[in-house]
Parts: sequence; C-alpha cells; structure tokens
Amino acid sequence: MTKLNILTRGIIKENPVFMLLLGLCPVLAVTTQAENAIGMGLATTFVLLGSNIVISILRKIIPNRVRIPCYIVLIASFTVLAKMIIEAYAYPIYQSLGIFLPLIAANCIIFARAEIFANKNGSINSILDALGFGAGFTLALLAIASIREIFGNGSWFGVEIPWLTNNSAMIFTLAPGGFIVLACLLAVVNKISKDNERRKNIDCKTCPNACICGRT
Amino acid sequence: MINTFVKPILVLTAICLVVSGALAYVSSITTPIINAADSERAYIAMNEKIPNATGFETINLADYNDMPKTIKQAYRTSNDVGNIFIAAINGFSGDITIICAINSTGEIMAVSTLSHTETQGIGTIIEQEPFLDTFKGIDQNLAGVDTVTGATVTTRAFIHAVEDVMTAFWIINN
Repeated sequence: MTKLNILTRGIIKENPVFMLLLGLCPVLAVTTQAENAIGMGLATTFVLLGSNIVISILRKIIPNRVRIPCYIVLIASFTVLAKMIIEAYAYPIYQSLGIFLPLIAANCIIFARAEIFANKNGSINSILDALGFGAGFTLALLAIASIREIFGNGSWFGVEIPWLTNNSAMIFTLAPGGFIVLACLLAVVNKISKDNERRKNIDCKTCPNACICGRT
Repeated sequence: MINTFVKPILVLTAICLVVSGALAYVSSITTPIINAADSERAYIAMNEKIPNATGFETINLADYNDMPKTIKQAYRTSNDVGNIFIAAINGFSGDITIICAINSTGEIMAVSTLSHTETQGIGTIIEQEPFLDTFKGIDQNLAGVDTVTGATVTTRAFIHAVEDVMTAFWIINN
C-alpha cells in the first residue's frame, strides 16, 4: 500500500462516518453548527494523531496482554490534553462541545485505528493514517453540519443567509434532523460510490472492513 | 514468568507514570490561563449581580478564622451595598462553583452557577431560574429553600454552598 493510499483512504474509501459508520454519537450530537463540527473534527484529529504516533512508537514495547489498557491510558490522556488546551485557548468551542469533548476518549475511530493500524505499522505511516482518518471524520462532520445549519438555522459559519434565515426548518437542528440528514447523505454516498458493483460480488476486495477482519 | 507477569505490569505502570507527568506539566501551564479567564467571567457576573456597585475589592480570606473551606473568593463593594462570594462545593460529580450576592442587611440579592459538571438534563436544574429564584431575598435561615426531587444530591450541595456563603457573610460583617 502506497503512502498516498494510506493518506486518502480514510477520507474516501474507508470514511469513518459514511463507510464504516463509526463515531456516530459525536456525529449526531455536535453537528448543529459548522463551527462546532470543525472544532470537534480538529480535536478528534489531534487525539487520533497523538495516540497513533505514540502507539506506533511503543508497539514493540507494549506487551500483547496489556495492550488494550495501554491504549486506553494513552488515548484518555491525549483527550484530557486536548480538553485542557481547548479550555484555555478556545473557551467558546469548549462550551459548545460540552460533554462530547471528554467523550473523545471513548470514540471508537481512535481505538480502531490504534488496534488495526498503529500497532502494526511505523510512525510515518501511522501519522498519514491518522491525518487521513481525521480529515475524513472532519469533512463528514462538516458536510452534515453545513446542511443542518443552513436549513435549520439559516446561516453558515454564523453568517446569515438571506431568505433562509426567516424560513428555517427547526427540525434540522434537533436530534431527528441529525438522523434524517445522516441517512440521506449515506444514501447519496452509497449511490455514487459504485456500491452496486460491490453488492454484486461480495468478497474481501470490495469490503471496507477487510483490513479489520484480518482474513486477507 | 518474567515476560508474562512482570513485564506487562512494569510497562503499564511506566506508561501511566510518564503520562501523568506530562498531563501535570500541561495542566500547570493551562490552569493559570483558565483561572484568569474564569475570574474575568466572574467579574462580569458580579457586575450583573450588583449593578449599583461602583467597584469591587477583594477580601483576604486568610484574615478570618473559621472561614468555611468552600469559600474561594470574597469581594466587598466600594460603596458598601453588599458582598459577593464565590464558593466551590463537591456536587454529584465534581465541583459546583456558585456566585452569590448578599446585600448589606444579609439578604441574598442573586445567586447563580458559574461552572459545574453535573448530569446534563438533571443536575442542570441549578442553572435554571425556577430553582435560583427561590433564593432571592432570603436571609441566613434559608426559609423556603428546598432540594429538588431527582436532583437531590446536586441541589443539596448547592444549598450547602449558599449556607457557607451566609456563614462567611456574618463572619466578615461582624
């Protein structure tokens, strides 16, 4: 697998939200405003990058039997680190992310990348992997948040859009709106990602989870 | 034997130690910044509580004996219309920090929550006006103030904090 491949597959082919359906709790919770989505995406990317780097460096030192507790300690620490930095330097984002900022520690994307990729690959590849998946997660959040903010609030990044401001559909900013937008986007992504081809010949080559299940 | 039992324990312990050290270091950098921003927000909140105050002076808590430990900061107004207290008490999960304004006759002018980590949707009652308004105008007997069903621990802690504020007020103004 080339370096470019490692970087881009998290964005498109194995997008954590649209393809693997991981980390849906923050996806639904913080995507009411585009600004929050960027903040959450960057915070998650930071934690993912930190944990991937450290775990790939320590992969030969950490004994197999205690690897899960080790990952938990490392990921939780990077989360606390991100929380302290955001609270000190970006208080409005800290307030709007609320409980979902510390909950990054329980985000399964980060844990999955540690277990699937970082503990089997070198630091450079792990950095690329983290950047790719972080970017994929951030872009997915941004896409959902943009739709929800534009139609639900009549604004984008806080800038009001004429006409829509006075005719906003409240449901988009509420929890059901999150599910609806996510489902519609998933349908679109499935349609354009040549999913029909995948459904016709189901095997490991077309499966986005092939590298997780380890049969290949 | 060493590889199966000793090494995992050693590695995990070492990781925990290193990580705790790193977190303590970052915390030592960010805590002053967070505290400074907190006190600035507190100042704005104080101005809201006592709008007719001309200025606020810090009271040195170490000057008084028997000051409740929950009282973190105390201020007197320059034109002597009341006192402001900031108190932190252990709630249901983590500290609840409240700000309380008391007028010169010992009645609560206003009280509100500065920060807390209580359960969303349950403990957050201490941010809301129906609960906070029950404190308005009452004296040290706290008559008419009661805990709220469903958020008993949180509201009890809140009321204890207000009691401590009252104690502190009478210690300072005696």
